[in-house]
Amino acid sequence: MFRSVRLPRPPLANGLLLFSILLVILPHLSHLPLWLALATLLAIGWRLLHDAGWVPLPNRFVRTALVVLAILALLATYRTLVGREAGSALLLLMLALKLFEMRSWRDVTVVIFLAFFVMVTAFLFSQSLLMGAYILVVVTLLIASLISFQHPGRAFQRQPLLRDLRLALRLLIQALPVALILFVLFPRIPGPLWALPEDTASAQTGLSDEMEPGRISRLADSNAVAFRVQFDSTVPAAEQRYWRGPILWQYNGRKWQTRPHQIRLPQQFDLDPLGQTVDYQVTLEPHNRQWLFALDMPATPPDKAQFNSEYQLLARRPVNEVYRYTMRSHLDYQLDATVLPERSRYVALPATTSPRTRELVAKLKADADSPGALVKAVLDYFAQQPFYYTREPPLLFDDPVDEFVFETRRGYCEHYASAFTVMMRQADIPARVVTGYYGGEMNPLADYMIVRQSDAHAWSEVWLEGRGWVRIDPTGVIPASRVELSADLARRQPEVRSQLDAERPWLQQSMRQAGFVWDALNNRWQQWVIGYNSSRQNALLKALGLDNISWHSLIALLFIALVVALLIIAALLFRPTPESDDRATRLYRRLLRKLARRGWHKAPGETPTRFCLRLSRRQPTLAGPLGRITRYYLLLRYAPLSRDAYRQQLKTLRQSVRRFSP
Amino acid sequence: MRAASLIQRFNLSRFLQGDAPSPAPWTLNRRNVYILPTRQGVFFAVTLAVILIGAINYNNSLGYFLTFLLGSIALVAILHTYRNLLQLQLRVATIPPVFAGGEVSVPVILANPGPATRYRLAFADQPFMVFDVPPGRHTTVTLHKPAGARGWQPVGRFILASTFPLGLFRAWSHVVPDAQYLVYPAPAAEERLPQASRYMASLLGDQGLGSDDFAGLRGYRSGDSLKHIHWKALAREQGLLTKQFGGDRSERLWLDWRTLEGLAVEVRLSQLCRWVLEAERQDLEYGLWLPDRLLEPGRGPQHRQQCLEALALFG
Repeated sequence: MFRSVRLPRPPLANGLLLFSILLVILPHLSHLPLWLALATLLAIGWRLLHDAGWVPLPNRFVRTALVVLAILALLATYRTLVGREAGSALLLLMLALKLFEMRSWRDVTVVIFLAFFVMVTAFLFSQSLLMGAYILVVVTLLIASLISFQHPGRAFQRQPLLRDLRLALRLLIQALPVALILFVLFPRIPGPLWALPEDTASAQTGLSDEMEPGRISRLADSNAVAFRVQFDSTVPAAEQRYWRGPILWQYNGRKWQTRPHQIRLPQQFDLDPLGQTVDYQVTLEPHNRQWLFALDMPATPPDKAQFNSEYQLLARRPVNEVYRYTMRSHLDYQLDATVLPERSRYVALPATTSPRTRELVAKLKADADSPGALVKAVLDYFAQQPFYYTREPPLLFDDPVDEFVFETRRGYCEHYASAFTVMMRQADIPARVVTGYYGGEMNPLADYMIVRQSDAHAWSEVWLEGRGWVRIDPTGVIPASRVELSADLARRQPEVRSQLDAERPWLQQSMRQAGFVWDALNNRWQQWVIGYNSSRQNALLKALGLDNISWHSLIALLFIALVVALLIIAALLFRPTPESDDRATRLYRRLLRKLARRGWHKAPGETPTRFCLRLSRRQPTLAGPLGRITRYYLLLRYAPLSRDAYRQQLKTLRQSVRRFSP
Repeated sequence: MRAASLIQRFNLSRFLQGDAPSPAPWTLNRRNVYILPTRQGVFFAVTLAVILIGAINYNNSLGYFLTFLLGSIALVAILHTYRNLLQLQLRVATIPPVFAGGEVSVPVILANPGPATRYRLAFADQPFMVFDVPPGRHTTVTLHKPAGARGWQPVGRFILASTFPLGLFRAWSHVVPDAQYLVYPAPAAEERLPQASRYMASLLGDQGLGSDDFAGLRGYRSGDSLKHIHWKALAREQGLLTKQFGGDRSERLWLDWRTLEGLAVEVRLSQLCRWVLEAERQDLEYGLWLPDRLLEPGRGPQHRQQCLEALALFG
């Protein structure tokens, strides 16, 4: 109906729209290439200047050229137009360029719908609680823009922007319960509908699939959460909190690496549980890698995950969203105790590696009567020689192990794990490096453990005849006096931690408390919003007494709930208000009530003027004020008043009625 | 409510055409207000579907949530759009007559008895008129449409619609008020008055019916030409006085159907219509001669209107 109408330029509505688009783009800025970020901001600025009447919009030729240029630039940057990064960048560019040809109401709707698209692509990068709150703000603003662009005939009227914002907020508040019903009851279809494009280029935090001294210490400063754990029963003791992750077994003289994962069926493992088990749920933050973390040693892989030949847990796909899994681990175990498959790869070393260390190992081996004794001898060596545990180790150049063991002697967990594993292999004892996390902190305000990136750790596993793979943490033997940072010590010794906490100044302590509150909220958010999937849905329905509900009864339930919710909203919206008169009438009725209290009633058929006359004759003292009120009332009801005059008169009437006392 | 009764209640011709004409005031209610998505609404639904598929594919909870939130906002907007029309009352004020081939202006009075402002209402095909009706007040909107053929014409059906607040849904009602307007014949182009007019000389003079010399003043009677009102006297607050002109003779013009022998009926009526307008413009005294009706000579707006009405309703 309004198709042919050209857009007026209500500056406020336009400003609101551009501001909302800016907010939509904001979460993307951190992962966009600089040129793209600048280009989108430039487009918004250009449009703003245009709306202010300063610059013209680019003509058709320039626009076409810009589109071609943008797509070429995208291809040059990403080498593709699909996938998470390139796809969202493409949408963003389309949105920015569409601003240059926004002329009609139809264009405005296209821009707003595109903005919703761009918004949703931001969730592929972050689904934090803040983002959840942010949606509500941006949606309200975009809806308000949609509302304020809907007045085709009124180019020159003041845009009542506040009213549009209020209405948008009302719509949002009324929609929220309906949205909640949909969120909870809408059937969750598990799994992707088509293969997800590999997003190898995307940024990742967390452990890597190779280890070179210096890598993990970068993580040590990151306070980011790696995963959260909820224990079903007892929380394992501090020294048992080894979270097993990537297993590195190939060494090239500098780096430890893992090779393409060979998946082994679980029954091929020779895992022998010895006693204590622990059950827990892990909520893993996305890290874009396939591996999962579990306490040493995981018993069975969770759904959609498997063990590889190193007994490492792997998900089917890279974890690019919050991933929740239930685990059981054996804290005491024997792994591959009787026979070690592929023994040769756990003793392989480059031929000329670390000659000085080789000599040392040969000497130690001569004194040791068993592989176990040699392990102890090497650990003793680390403990007795002046080795330091530090976050700022010196750089290592030619042969990292020799230099570390004989020269610098200052290192982080990966230095110790690397050197120890090399030494074991030099003594022909099968050994490998295990990376993962060590430690974890209970949130005192909620019943779960937080494992942070700063808890990243590396240790070794050696294979001993009759005992299988044995976990050896060479870092652990460094005496406390040679640990430089008390925080590192605290991870190992809870009593140090509580002492540390007590020593913190007041502000830091309350910041820490606030941090726990925030993390507890985040955890809830992860559990109930981000991690809400078909199994959570089933659990919730079960809690509501709807066991094993079929797919179509769920749809029916959803439909009924929706209809009921909408009927309630409709009833509230359409409710016949007894005070459906205008404000003047309401005020006049208030006057009548005042008079009625004194026993003076207006007859049903009597006009206000006649009533006023009749009463004035009987009560001459009332004549003045009553006459005035009646006059104002009639004026307000029947005179064609301008909006301002109406408001003015209404104010006078209100005051007169308030003051009137018969 | 049983399904059968719903189907009975829903009547396709009413959906497409609206009800039969009904007397004023017309109230919009649940029976005569319809709502469907607009083109933008369909586009919005497609957008949401694509976002939902993306959310399913990436198993993205916030994606789900955004889809559901926007979908719910659209659902709630249906109620708001619908409510924007409900309980509005329409009345058509008196419609001034028009000439055929022209445009009729239909003043429609919309009253809002409800507690909330009705925003951004519009009549279909009247794109530039978008208006609000504040609570408890009324607004007059003048609609324009082609006048149609000579004679009484029904106002017909018009469509009151609103897409407020989001433009995703359009609620509308076919309004068929029981009102009509008169269409005069289209005036012909030929302006020359007929030669057949006769001057009727009077020995006594016509005592104020002529137009040559000022003869005196008398009290205003309705139907007197505005041109003859003594405005200065009115300004001196002496009341409405009509100037009288006297002369030996006055031009009495007969506009006669018979003089247009041989022409088609409508052409004849058009010519007579033009003559009436021309005679009135020249302030002549004229009478109208129709086969079924005779209007004695006279002048003034009222006379003109009578003549035009006779022409409009001829046959």
